[in-house]
Amino acid sequence: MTKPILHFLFFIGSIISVKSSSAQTVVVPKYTVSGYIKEGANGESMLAASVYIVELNKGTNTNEYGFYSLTMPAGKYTLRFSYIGFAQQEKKIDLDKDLRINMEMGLAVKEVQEVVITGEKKGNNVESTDMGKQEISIEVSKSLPALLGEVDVLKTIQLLPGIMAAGEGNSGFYVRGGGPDQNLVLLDDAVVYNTGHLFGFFSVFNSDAVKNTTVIKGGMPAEYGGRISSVVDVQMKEGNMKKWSVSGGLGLISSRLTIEGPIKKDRCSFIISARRTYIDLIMKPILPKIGDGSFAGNDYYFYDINAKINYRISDRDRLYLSGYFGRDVFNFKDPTGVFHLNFPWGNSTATIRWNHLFSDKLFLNTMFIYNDFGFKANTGYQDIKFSLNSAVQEATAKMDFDYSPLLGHMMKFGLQYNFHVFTPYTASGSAGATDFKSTNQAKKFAHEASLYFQDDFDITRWFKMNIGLRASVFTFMGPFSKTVFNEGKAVDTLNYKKGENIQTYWGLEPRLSMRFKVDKSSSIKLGATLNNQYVHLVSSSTTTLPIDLWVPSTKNVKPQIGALVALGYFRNFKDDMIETSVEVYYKHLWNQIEYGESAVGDITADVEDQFTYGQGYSYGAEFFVKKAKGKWTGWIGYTLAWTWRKFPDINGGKPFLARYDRRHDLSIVQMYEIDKHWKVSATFVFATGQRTTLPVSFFLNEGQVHYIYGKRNWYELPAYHRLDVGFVYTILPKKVRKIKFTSDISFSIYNVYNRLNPFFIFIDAGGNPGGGKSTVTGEDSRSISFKAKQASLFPILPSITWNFKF
Amino acid sequence: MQNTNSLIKSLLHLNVFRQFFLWSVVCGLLTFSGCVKVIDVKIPADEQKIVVEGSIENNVPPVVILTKSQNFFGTIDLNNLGNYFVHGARMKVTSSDGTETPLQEFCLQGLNLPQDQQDILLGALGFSTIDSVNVPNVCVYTVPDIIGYFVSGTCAFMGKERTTYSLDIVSPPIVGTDSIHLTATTHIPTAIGMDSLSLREAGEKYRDSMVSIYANVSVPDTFGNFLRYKTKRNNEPFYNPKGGSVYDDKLWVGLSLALPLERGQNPNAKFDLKTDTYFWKGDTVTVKWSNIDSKTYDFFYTLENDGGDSPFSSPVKIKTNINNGLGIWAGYASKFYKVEVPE
Repeated sequence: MTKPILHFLFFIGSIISVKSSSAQTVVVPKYTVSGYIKEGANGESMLAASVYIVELNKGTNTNEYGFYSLTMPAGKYTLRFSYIGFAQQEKKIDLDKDLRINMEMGLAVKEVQEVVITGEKKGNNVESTDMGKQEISIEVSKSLPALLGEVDVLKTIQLLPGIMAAGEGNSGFYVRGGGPDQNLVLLDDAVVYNTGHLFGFFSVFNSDAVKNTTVIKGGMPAEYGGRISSVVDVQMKEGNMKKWSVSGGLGLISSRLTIEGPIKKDRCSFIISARRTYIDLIMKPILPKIGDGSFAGNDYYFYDINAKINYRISDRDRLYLSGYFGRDVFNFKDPTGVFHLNFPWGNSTATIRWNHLFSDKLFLNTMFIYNDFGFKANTGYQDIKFSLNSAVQEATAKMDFDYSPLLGHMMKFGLQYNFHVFTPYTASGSAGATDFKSTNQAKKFAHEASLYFQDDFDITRWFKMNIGLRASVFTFMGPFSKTVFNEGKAVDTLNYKKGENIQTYWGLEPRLSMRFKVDKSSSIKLGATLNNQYVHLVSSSTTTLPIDLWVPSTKNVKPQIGALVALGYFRNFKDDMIETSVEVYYKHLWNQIEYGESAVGDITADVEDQFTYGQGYSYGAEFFVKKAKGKWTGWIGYTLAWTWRKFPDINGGKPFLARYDRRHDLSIVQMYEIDKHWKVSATFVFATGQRTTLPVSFFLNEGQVHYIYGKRNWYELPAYHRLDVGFVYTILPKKVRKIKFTSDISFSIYNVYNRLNPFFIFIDAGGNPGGGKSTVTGEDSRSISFKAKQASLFPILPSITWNFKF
Repeated sequence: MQNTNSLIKSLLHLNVFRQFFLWSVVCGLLTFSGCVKVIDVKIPADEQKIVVEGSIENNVPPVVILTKSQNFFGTIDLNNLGNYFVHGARMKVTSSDGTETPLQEFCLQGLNLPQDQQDILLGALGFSTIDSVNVPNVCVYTVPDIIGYFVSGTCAFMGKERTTYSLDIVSPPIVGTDSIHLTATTHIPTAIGMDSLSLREAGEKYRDSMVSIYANVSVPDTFGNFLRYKTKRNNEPFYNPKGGSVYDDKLWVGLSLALPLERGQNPNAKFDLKTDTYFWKGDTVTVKWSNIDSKTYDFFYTLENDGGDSPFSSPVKIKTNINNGLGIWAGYASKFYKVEVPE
């Protein structure tokens, strides 16, 4: 392992030294032009806007905070600022000193009503070294048909090749054969540990508060770490710097309200956005009338609040405070009043970010982040009280530097420190006056730190590279204690003092991507990355649930390691109107974790005692065609892939296809703007059925049928396909008492042709092995018959949402 | 040892909890969409295995039912049990105190027992009679003097507390000509029992007709005790509580506390969830309270949480203490507690 890494470091060193020595031959003085690009209408920073030097045929993109920096020899230049959907602007400059040019972009007149698919600059997909990277504007998600009218960015990214939905209507996702915990999901740089509301049917991201989503499904740059499969970076809106604005929507199951505006015009703004479901209020009078009234005690709702303050302290300093708080609450009360359940769960995040410009070339973003995810279950029966509790908390300090020393070099480097606290499932309660609790009460503490460096640079006009290295270290530390059991008897007790190092892991994570330009409109790209992941989520369900537990690396649980190699061909047609790409990849995963074959999930024990460890590998090809501009926009993505797992203790050690192996996955997304009132969109998805483990035989014990399961994931469910259509009717702006009021009505039809897609399949044993009256047929018999049954979740579902803004 | 209400207990098992979660929401959705249909699934033939259902209890002789696992083809008629039971096996049980007994095969139809004794025997084995004509020909392997045990309540070889028992089986082949050799070991621990049973008022809706029964238990202060319990109403057989019949002591070690019992119900009748934790006034309730070893606990714990009756379950491989087969060779250290619930 060490040898290849040394070779890699030598390679980086030699490239940097070559560039440095060539730079010494330049005698013309160099100056820097830098600045911020923002939207003229509301002052929002523009990420990935293009700044292009016409004379040099070179340029750069703005960073997440809208900052750009270009250092070039003195001279006269034309700067071209562009962003799809916005009017292109040009500015002539005489670069005889360092210049600061801030730019406010206005919407392009012709494209006012157009859907903006990405914020890419012209031809960026061919030009950049990025592989497997997409930026999704929230406008795209809002234009597409949505399940029950709930716009969801995570469901939009599932329509990209290589990204698979975790299940029917589920916002969870798998990327290129990686597990759901291998996706780094960030909200304003804070890790979101559980991305789903309502058991994953809706994501925690309120579309009114989201500005942009960046997805990296491979070729992860060194600035990102801690997960091995993908990055989903969700950026919240910053708040309107120019004027007050209220927007919101009324949907079938939830309503939203957002208020934003300047606290001090062009200096300080805020946004606060809230959402709550009201299905509990609608269903309350109906539930007692369903069946025998046993549903009456059910009560479920979720809500979330996003808030952000953005303060421009000076031209060099900017401060952001942002936060998210969301909760799902499920209550059940036995109609007789004897038994009750109460499950609250949810995420909280808080981020402080300080942008500072040390010079026109050096940008620093310093962050302090706190995030947690907690789950509780409180139950009671007569005088028995019982509660279950689990949580993961994380405090992070992070510094990211952007350094643009000369034209054609975009360097990033930084460091990060995380303090993790994992609360495993802890059970406690009381029976009358006696309190009880489980033996596995000890929290697990861990430190994680990382350093990284990356440079995106041109070697020749045709050859560009992004090279990076991340070094990470993780320590599981005391205090920690654990009782070790063997056949139920306590055979040992492990005790570690506060601050004691229990186990340390470290790793070097090289990242490389290269772009060879074939001609003006096509390029070949190669990417190779190695990633380490020190925290893990193990789930045995077909989908991730809030009860699934995050665990750290420990003595037994080794860090997951993922290696990805990808090769892609990118070609644009019709002056970049149509973008196409083909990418092939191979991914290998070490130290993968599953529950053992006989694990039931006993929460009175340390959960890691029920794990088993193995490897995974996946490979495939992804095809993508996108039309980004015009009245008609959309894309088609197709993936052909294989995903395997190999565990010594599962399936007799033989490789098996993973639960989320899907041979074929096709998404067709089309949007068309009919006129200034009407927009229509449609999505069609087809995927090979999920894999599952069905029983293959049975035996009787005490007169009851018990199944013997076949090889892991041996059965492939029937194929999944679905067509959704959506219409948006925009009511043109009206002025009511000098206030401009705009609104639209969105109609969605989910599953237009009412396909009964398989949600799960189960074997139903009819008859009665022990004798007596059959519970199925009511007849006396002593026979059993078995039927395979398929349950489907969502039939055709129309919905309507009214959105407004003033 | 431990015991508690089944719904609370179910929260201790992630699989059950996960299913509860999914059921509570998804079933609501399914109720409205009603989208469950029968489909064709081609299930491959699985290699048949020998299944042992054996037990030895303090003051009770060993009993073993030997069967074969079955494939899912068509309807399995259990009135024709010829292909279900394994006949002609050679079997012996050896005790750690040096004694040994062969086990002999008895089939019900060969015993000529009176109807009531047939019912008791079948009920004890998990079967019930439909009518006197259609009695299933259940076969068991037990001590040769089993009839004497039925008559006098004692026989030459019976289980004893704090004793280990080895089971050795040579079964005829399922396919081919080679016989199958199976072995297993179990331990009958000390019968710790409980302190007492006590009655409490039921929830308001059922208060007039039913009560809760609590077990007052003192759990030893060292880990490693396992419990299985069953309940019996009047003259019915003992039935397992649906929420789980086996418990370990991880949550309760060293404590004295009162915990509610679940009423065991006939597994082949429609399950009554609403009154699952209650017993009727006027009933005589007997509780069979057995200490077991860890392997027996593991078998029933995985068996009762294998999700066989839930479409949301993750596959759970049922643990076994049988070498070269499936099932369980279980040792029980039992005590019985009886309470008459006043009208």
